[in-house]
Amino acid sequence: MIVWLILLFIFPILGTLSFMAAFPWVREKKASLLASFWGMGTLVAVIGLIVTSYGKLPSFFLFGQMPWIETDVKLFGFIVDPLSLLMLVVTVVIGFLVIVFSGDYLTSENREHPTTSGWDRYYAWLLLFIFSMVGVALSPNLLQFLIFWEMTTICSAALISFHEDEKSCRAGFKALVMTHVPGLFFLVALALVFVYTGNFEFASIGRLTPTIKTTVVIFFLLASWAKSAQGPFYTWIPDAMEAPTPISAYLHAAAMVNAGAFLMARVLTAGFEIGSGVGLLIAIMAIVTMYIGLFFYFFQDDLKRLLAYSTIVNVGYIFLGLSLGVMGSVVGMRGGLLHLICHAFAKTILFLSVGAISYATGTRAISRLSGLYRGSPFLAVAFTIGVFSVTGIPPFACFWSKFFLIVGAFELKSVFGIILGVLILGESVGAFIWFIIVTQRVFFGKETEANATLQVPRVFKFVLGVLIILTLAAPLFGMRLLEGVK
Amino acid sequence: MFVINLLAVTIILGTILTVITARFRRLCGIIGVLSVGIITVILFYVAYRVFTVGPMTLAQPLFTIPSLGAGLSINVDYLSAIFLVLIGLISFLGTLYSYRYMDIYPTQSLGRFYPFLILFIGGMIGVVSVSDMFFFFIFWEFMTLTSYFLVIYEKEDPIALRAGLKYFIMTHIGTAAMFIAAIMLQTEVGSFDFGLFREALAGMVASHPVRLPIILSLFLLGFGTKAGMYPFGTWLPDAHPAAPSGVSAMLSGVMIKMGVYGIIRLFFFLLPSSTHSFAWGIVIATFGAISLFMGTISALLQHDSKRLLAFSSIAQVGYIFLGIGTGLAFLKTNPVLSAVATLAGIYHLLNHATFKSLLFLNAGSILYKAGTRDLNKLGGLYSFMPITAWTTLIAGFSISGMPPFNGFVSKWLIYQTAILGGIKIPVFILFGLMAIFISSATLAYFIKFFSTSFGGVMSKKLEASLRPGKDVPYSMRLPQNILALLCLVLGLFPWIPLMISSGGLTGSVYGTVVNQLPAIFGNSVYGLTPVLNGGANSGVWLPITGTFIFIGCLALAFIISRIGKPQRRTVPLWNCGEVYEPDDVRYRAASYYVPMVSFFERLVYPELPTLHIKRPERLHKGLDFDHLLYYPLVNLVVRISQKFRRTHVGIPQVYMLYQVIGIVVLGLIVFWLSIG
Repeated sequence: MIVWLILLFIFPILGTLSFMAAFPWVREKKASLLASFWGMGTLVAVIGLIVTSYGKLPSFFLFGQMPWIETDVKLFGFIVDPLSLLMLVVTVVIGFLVIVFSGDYLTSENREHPTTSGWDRYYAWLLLFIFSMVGVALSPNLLQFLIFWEMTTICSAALISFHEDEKSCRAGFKALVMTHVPGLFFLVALALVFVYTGNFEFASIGRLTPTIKTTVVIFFLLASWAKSAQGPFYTWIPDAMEAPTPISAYLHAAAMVNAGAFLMARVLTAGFEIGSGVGLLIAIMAIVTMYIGLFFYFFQDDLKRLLAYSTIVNVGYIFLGLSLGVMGSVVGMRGGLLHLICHAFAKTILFLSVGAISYATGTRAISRLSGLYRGSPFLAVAFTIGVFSVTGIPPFACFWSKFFLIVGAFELKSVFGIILGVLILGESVGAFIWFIIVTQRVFFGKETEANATLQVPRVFKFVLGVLIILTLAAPLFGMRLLEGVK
Repeated sequence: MFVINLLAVTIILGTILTVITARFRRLCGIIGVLSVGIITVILFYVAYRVFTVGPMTLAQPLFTIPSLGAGLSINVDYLSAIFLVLIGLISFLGTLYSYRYMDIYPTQSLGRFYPFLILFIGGMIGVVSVSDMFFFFIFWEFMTLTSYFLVIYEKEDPIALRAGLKYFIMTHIGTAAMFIAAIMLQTEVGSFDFGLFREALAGMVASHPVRLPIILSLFLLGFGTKAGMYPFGTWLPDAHPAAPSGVSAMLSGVMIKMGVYGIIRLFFFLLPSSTHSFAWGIVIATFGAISLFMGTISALLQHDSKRLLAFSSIAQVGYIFLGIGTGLAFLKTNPVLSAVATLAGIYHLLNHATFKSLLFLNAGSILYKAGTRDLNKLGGLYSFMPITAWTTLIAGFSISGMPPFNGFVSKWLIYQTAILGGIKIPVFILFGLMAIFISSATLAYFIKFFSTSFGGVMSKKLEASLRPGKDVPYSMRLPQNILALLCLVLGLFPWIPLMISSGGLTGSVYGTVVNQLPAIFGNSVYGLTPVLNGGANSGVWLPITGTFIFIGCLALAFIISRIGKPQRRTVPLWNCGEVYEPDDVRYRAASYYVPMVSFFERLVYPELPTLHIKRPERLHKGLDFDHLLYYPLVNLVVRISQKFRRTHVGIPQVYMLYQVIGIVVLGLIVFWLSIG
């Protein structure tokens, strides 16, 4: 198992180095091929890890100390438990598929953003991002978590401003500021935990006095809200849509936004009691976020921005699930985490479909697209499955997780729980209505000349096909995995 | 278990094969018809087993979700079996019909038709055979999803797209309401199993007088939306015309019956007999009465053949609800009357499936032949499609309750039970009378439908555009003929379907009353002598005898006319001496029932106004937190940096001055420190 763990770290970092030092001159599809090799290595390592560790969860591997910081537990290492496996599956599998997808996307044939340089930069940052997400997923304590967490922030800023025009640089900067500044609360909380308990373990938070414990958890919450684009911090994500679409798919659907929710999941499942006031706070903030996002759906003309708001809403679901866990419903907690994996796959389908549309037609504006079905039925099928999965139509992915969430909310057996359940359902129905309207507008109806040029490369179809299968399988796999989470 | 596997394999294989062969239209059609045929055979076998041996139940759920308490448990009882027969029959006939009918869409791929059709049938089978609410929902929404794609089959047509949207959104909201209800029950018992739901409901009857009605009303909303109950079912007149006719027949014949299935399952199997059933009986009967009134009146005003039939579906479902509601209301006070009323509802459900599917197929044939659904443009088709005309006539007589066809018997029983029940609760007399009078309005719209399309003179334009060939192809005629025959047989031998339906109530709240039913109906296969109100007979219906008398009268009339040798003359239409083209003086659909139309026009199904919401600028701005958070912060940083920038003047001397000042300050500090 340990071998797989080490390989998991080595492959992406070697990939980054290879692009930075050894092969910066590799261009276009060859660059993607090289990056895919490293991505494939990581993927194999994850599969190996799952196969060897399944059923033996959780396990710790700890080693290493740091001078000046004296703790009673070793400082670095890995943790392998259902949560980290969940996150690894999401980040590495989608990461690999995104690399493959990028190969045909970042070419001069791209009608929206013809790319003629910068492949080395792109893949180096992308692989570094995968590396840091792997680090986040496997971090056994808060310190290591923070290091990798901030690394993802830097990578994200670099990737968002990939096109290097003014707009995307601003967007990248905004993402950096808005995630990093509230991220400082993480640092403060970390310091508090260290000062009062002498180590950085997640479980140590439980040994703090109630007041400090609540403060620390709320500080973590602030940091993760910013990372996950929740509540008042949501605004960076619609602007970050300036990034190349595969990057949006990876960062803003699968990996980065889920990192915030993942932090809270780690903190809240560390095995200590926390007042239900915090749960209430998370729940209310999640609901507020969901409804803000829902409100903005109706005014978007850019498909990607629409998806960005949908991501905000759906990460709100994950937080809601966590809050249900805090308030005493295991079903709700599992529903939230199941939503993490289901939503990640489903939303990646949607983002990559939009990427394929903008690649082929040069536009992402809903008002200018119509009748794309004739141009590419496959794309229509993929997008429709994505929509049904995200909005939770049985038997597609997010239906299961949303159902868990609603059951969890009702399980609280309080008026608040019932209101929560109804509000979840309300958002779900509202999102469904709007997304089905958008699907009809874009894919059915009269054809415009935009779709006369709709040529979707085979690679896109392959990636989308794999993702469709994964999305359909995600609830089964996720439920099996999450039975270990309490 | 073997049956389930076979069914699943057939459905999956059929779907995949039809997707692959979509290019070859005939082959794809044959595969589609074959797979549905196999499914039908399996369903008939299952139903036969259930009728003869008893309910088929899987010992173990196929798939469980422990943390939700949900399990995919299959349980086919008599009620499910009745619905399985219905699904099998109508689906097969509808698919067989579609085989040639789909020729009218030469530009649309069949890859979007047969696969969804097969999956749709699979969804319906799932709905009636699971005994677990969670998986019930999965199949339920799956059914909606697949039928949505069938409704928007003509994907370039904005009207079809709108209809599909309306259909999916409305039923989805209905399902969401049912989600809430089911989860509220689940939190009581921790499981979605029907058996445990029964316990939960029984417990709630006494302890939760407020929560139970909320749950039941949410369920009624969901099922009612699907079934086309009046205020909730407004999707129906849009969606049914949009779908290909074979599918319309399935939607109207079977799918909307799933809502009725849900209501029967909930109110007669899960909810114990109590004061709640009494109250909900009155509610359902009221909704039924309203639907039958509004549906029929709306149908009278339509000029689109399939839209007319869709409205009439709402009306006929209203009859079913009236029967079921009457049954529910008298569950405690008069179980015999109640059982007969419920049975009449189920029987009418079977009848409606036959005659309404038949009518939709007929409308489809007209569309196939003449290329239009607009009744104003049709006319004189009888000589071109006589068989379709005859089957339409039979279906029309059935739907308007003419003896000896099947619609008569079920309606007759519904009137009787409603009016006899009215002795206790007077409002039912009103419902019963309404049902009787509305039945004549049904005949009125059917006459409009029949005579505008088959009767009269054909316009020249239509004659030029008719599809060649005698009548419609055989594979389209066969389903029509079978259904027409069924309409007659089910009407001539009402005893048989009634006994099958009465089996459907086994295991319900009626308990042993079900066993008395054969005696109540008079124990004779040739007719019905229902004993409803104590000892006395409440009417006799001997269809065979009646039919013989009727045929005898006809024969007598014929003989008299032969004896009298009346002269027949064929003359052109007399236009008061003016000269008109026949086209100008045709009696069109728009000319029917003009007073009625002007009277009811406003009342019926107002279209939802298209919403034009202005973007709420203030809210939009208020929710954009950038102005609160990000920009002030960034601007602050920028402003401070701007101030620093001024110190960089670009003149070396000034920089050297900074250095000198720095050195002096540093020196002073060091000096101060060394003294201190």
